[in-house]
Amino acid sequence: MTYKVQIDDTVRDATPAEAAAIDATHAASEAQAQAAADKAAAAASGRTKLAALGLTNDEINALLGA
Amino acid sequence: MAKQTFTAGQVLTAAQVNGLQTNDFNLTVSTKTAAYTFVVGDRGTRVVLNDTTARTFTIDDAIFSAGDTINVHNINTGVLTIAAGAGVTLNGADVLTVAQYQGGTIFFTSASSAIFFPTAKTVADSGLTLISSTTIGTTVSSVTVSSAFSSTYDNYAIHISGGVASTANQLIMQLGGTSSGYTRVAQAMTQGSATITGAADTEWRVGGGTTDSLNGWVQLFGPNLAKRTVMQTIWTEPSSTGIGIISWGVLSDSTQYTAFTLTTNTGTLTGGTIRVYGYANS
Repeated sequence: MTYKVQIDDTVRDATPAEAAAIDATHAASEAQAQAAADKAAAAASGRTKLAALGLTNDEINALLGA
Repeated sequence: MAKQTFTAGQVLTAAQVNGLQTNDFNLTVSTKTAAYTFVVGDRGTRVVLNDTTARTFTIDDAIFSAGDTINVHNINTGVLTIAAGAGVTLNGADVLTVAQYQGGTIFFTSASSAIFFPTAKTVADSGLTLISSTTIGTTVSSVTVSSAFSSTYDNYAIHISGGVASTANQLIMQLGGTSSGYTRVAQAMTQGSATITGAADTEWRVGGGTTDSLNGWVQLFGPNLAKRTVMQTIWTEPSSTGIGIISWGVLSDSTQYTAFTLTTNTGTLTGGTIRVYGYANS
């Protein structure tokens, strides 16, 4: 993909190395966002399972330190 | 008109006398649009910066003599810095920077020493000095500010505002060319919800935007010191359902940085301004 980069007041097309760095930044950011979403989903799933065992919300919060 | 040297017995012309008189009553002005090193002909005249990029006027050694003066002022948004070249001692009130519509006088006490006297109110009076103001271009994926940090200040504030993003995105900051070693923890809340969500990652997400606008407020502690750099930031997604984030992080190296880059995590930026401020050390 073609990117534009700006150095101070100068805008130009990214070099292949700069484009690769931007791609890497985008990929890493996406991976971190996905990891956070997976963690949140796991936490929600865990809460659901604890509730299914009969724990109240207060008990779950106390258990999880929430 | 630059200082003239007359010899014994020389007959002065009206033009020579008028030229000198003119400079007394109506200073000769030379306007610069780039970095500049003062020359001997600048004595007794006014040198003006007119540029949107931060620029430096440098005083070299053994060019001037005790008693010489140079007047300077700045008529554009690029901050002017008065700098001492090798072998020169330059003293000034607090800082040696000149913001737009400010000025001052450089007075030489010897060939290798001078004092800068600001003649207008300097931002340093408030302890905060505008170092650079960078207007973001059109559809850019990253913006580098190359002369942001120096030994003049230990700590900095960076404001990102205005402009638009092509899609809801976040801005990731890197110092110099360093792409690793960053850690960050964050707390986020969504508009209309009191639930706080925590996050920990290895990126400095210091701002962001939508098709409405961009924003970010970053505090950097010691980016130009040979110590770890600490970052603290607050920013809000400008949307009625957007998130607000407060975060803090560390870059665990001792590199003395002068530049930073903001890269989008997706999409592009158009317009807006990145302003860098330095906190006076004393």
